[in-house]
Amino acid sequence: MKGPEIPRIAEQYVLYKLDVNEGLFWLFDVNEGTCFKINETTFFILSNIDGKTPTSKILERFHSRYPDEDPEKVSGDFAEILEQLKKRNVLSVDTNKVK
Amino acid sequence: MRDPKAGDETKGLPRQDCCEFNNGSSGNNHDNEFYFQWHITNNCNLRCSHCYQENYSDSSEPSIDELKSIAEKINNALTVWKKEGRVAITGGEPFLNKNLFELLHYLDQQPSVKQISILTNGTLIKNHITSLKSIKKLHYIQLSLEGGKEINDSIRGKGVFEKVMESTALLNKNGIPVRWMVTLQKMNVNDVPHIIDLALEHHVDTLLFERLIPEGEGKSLSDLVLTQEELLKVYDYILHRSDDEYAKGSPIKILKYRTLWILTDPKRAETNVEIPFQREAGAACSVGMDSLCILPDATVLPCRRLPIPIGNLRTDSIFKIWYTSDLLWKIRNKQNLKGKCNSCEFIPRCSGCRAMAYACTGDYLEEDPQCWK
Repeated sequence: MKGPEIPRIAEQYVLYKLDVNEGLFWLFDVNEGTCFKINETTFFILSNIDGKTPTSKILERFHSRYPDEDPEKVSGDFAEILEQLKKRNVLSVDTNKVK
Repeated sequence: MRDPKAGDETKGLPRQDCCEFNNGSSGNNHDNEFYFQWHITNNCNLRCSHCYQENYSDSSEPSIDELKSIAEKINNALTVWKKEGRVAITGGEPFLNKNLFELLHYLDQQPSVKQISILTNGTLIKNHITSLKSIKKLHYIQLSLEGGKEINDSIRGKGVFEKVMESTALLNKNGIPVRWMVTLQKMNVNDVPHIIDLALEHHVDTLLFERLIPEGEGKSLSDLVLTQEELLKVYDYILHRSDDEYAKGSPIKILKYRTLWILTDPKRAETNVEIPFQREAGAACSVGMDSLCILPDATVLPCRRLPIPIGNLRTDSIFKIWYTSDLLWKIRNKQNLKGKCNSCEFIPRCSGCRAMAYACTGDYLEEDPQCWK
């Protein structure tokens, strides 16, 4: 039986919120040297990824961030962002088998 | 749902080949450049009283393979960041490193390294002119000078003044631009007019004034650091003398791209003077913005005058250091600055000298102790 999905940020990536310019969030690749300017939503998701918390729990937190929004749209956006991050190898997802 | 101001960057994760995190102009005249000051040896034939070094041992001198590996890392970082590299090779005394010219030739081949300079005490140049002329990207040689013969030699050692004059003449004769660097302190502050005269007389291309930071060998010399009033007075003199020389058509460039200079003439950048070294007075501290310092053992410092290691190129990438150093982030965020630097209207064109703050107070975020504002 499949266990919960647990997302993990690839080791070479570092997340940073630039306080000096409010609203500027960065994702740095310390191996390749590139950096990505990200928005607050992506920053929120990435900052909740610690390699231990399941995707479902992070999604729950994401929903509580937007209590007045259509839950389906919130879930859809969350899935889309995660997919983009996986595609770029920023994220990997562990699925531990449960006995 | 998403913050409308945030745009739609999430979907595309736009790649930014950048290394800058500052908003607005820093006042530096090199917005597309990145500066590495690379100390390839601690070994030195002089023992200047105010030197920022404490250790003169050559035990940590890198092999040529290690030097080449660091040169490649520098080139790679510059390439990724799409920056033009200015690499200053220094020491100790760089001409004492037997690998100097092999390294310079190797740097010459690195495509993103656009300018190479050598910062030297000027005493060992005469046998190397032919080799120096073979370095295609050699931009200038910087010689340290503290004043006229008496003052200079009391600080740098007997006979050094004459050697610097000989080296200046030799470099001029061979078409290699010469820059003189003067460290301002109480012993030489009254000699500044004479130093400018000397520079003109000896056809020096560029003259640069730095402030004495009481650290290293110079730690005990804090009583020689200029007061705010003394610094204001000498900066004011240099600024006006620079204007006079420019008006007379003197070819010398007197640089003022440093912290606190903005206070001497805040509106200067708005004038119509088209020559950058004349138009610009003042620039932000380059720490965390567009420069790094590398020591002989590959330790990386934010600046040679701010001796707090932020990584080592034997184990860390330049990117890791640049993106993850807590010190660099603290300095980049100007809201962290303390005292009068915190609320200064001249940020980002000045942010005080972090090294001077650290040397005088132990806190690199403190206000610049020499600021007279």
